[in-house]
Amino acid sequence: MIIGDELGCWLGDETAQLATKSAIEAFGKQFRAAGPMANLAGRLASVEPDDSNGIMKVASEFVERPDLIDTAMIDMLRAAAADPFYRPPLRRVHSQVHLGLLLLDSPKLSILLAVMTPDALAAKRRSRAGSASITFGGQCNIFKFLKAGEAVISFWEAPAIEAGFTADSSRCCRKIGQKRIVDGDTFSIDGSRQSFVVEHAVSDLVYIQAVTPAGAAPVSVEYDADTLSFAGASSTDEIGSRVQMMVSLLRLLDRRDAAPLIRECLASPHFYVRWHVMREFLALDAELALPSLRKMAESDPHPEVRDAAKQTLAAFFSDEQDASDREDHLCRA
Amino acid sequence: MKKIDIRKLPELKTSVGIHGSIKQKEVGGAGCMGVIFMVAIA
Repeated sequence: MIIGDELGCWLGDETAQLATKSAIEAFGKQFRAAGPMANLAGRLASVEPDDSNGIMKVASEFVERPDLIDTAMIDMLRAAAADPFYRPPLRRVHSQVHLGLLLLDSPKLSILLAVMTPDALAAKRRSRAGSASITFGGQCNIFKFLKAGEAVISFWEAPAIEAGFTADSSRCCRKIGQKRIVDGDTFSIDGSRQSFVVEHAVSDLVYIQAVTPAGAAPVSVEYDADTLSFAGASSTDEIGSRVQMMVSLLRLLDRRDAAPLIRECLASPHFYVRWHVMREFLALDAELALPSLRKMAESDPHPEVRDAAKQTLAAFFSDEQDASDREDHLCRA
Repeated sequence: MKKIDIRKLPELKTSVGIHGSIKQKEVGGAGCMGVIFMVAIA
């Protein structure tokens, strides 16, 4: 790698590196302790974790006062101008079309300050193979457009994604309107039934997005942008997905001593997690899984889970005995 | 001990991808702009 003079000097100057590091750390502490962010954290602390309305009310008040974070942005710009190796001590979030800094990253609420460029939008459209999709993310969002970029946005709705969600082929979404947004526009999106698409933009869109996992639908859903029909679903629950992967790993490691833990995971609120865990349990030790399988076939709240459990009982268990009393070791995993 | 080949067990009709595994075909909508913390791609 050929490096420039400035980088070469910085890499060879430990004092300069420490100064950069100190400036980044000092800003991080100052930013979190400053009035707007401390106030936001305090307000959030008084809201119950599952109170999506309460959380979004706090978020709404914050995004409607973007001036509150102006000072912090100016400080970061000054620091970056003074030291080319300075990086904001905030997590970067980016995709093909947007780049942002996570102002707040908490279990109740995330707030992103981001920019989306029309060039990136156009590049993604050109590089796309096949038809696009319209995603209903399942979570409640607020978008505040500081710079609207003369963008035209279409708004979409679909049947609400609920706990008993099934991939019904008759599900489809529909366009309910379109508008050219202006600087300062704010709108809320309930991702369980609402979405939007940036159809066109002339210049950069700068926006604040607040999103909460509280009250999220169990899955996000994509619809084909051409046919408007159901295209696929994904989990909205990071913890549930981690549980799925860990249970799969335990089964691959043949950790039969993990059976009590795996049984606990069968109580997931998400139907797809429950069945994933049951499949792994059956593959690990079918006799240990049998009592839970019977219970699932009888009383699981989701019809597809009940059906799959009944099919499994019919196919693999005709005269089996329960074996739950064979568990005598606890897994420490 | 009885084990069942996981490939022989039924799947749900409603297939659900793991968190963050949206197909990412969308252009400039809520998914593109959204804060998605990826776990893995299914």
